[in-house]
Amino acid sequence: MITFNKPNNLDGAKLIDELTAAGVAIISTDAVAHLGKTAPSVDGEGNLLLDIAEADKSKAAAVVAAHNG
Amino acid sequence: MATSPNYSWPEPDNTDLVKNGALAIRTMGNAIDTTMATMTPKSTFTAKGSIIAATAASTPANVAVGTNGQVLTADSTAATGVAWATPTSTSFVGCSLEMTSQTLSNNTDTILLWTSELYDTDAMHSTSSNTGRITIPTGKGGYYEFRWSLMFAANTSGNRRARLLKNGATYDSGTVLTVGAPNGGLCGFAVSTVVSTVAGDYWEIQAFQDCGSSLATGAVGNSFQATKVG
Repeated sequence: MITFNKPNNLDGAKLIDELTAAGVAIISTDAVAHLGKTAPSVDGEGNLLLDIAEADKSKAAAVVAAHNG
Repeated sequence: MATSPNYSWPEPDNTDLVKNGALAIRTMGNAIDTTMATMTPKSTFTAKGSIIAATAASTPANVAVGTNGQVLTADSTAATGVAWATPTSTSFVGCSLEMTSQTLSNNTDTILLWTSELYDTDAMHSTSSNTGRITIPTGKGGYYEFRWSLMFAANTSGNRRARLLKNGATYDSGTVLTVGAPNGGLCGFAVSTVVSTVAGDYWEIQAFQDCGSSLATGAVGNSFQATKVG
């Protein structure tokens, strides 16, 4: 998991689409196992957690910063 | 010659002719003296409540009474191997948390944040940092019952999920509950489970919804409780 600042207006589905379009793959299998959905997480401190490769961190950061669900 | 029933002291029969009576009396007296030497004198009890224990085999000793409420307990450091001690209290350990409402982003796993405490006996929860967590206190590991309830605001689209997390990861698939949004729109969970946990473990509830937009939890009906049961 890589931690980002949570966008003020987060839509997990839209963010996944934006990340995919930017070439960032979500690794998480946990959500798939339980709901058939790939979803980002928000922790108890309000941080956005993305299960992505470390190499994709900078690309994902740009997507997250621009995100407005 | 007959003997006494308990210590087999020699006793003349009623029909015996008494001869050498002094020897018979001395024999019985010595036997009595030998037996009495093995007995504990009543002076061993020194005061009200005194009891007798042993410092070693065949070595009785007085143990003075304790104070009101104490119980007699084995104590290898005491001379007699027992001591009066105050019983350890087994006071209640647990916390009960609530929130008013929390917005859940679409298609996002979100830790629920508990903003108020009905009770918290051992500082298991903070209302200022990591407010989603119940943390097992030092020295208080064991079996805990967790109970939580969660209501979602009315919405008829998508799915709803709630799950128990231990140290940031799903605790067990048996504590993951998923339902489709009902026709009436209102949806909620009420769950109870008993877990084995150690001091320092933290537990959270994570919620999910994918109705297509943000959705709030219900304004009431949201709670998270931990109770130490063993």
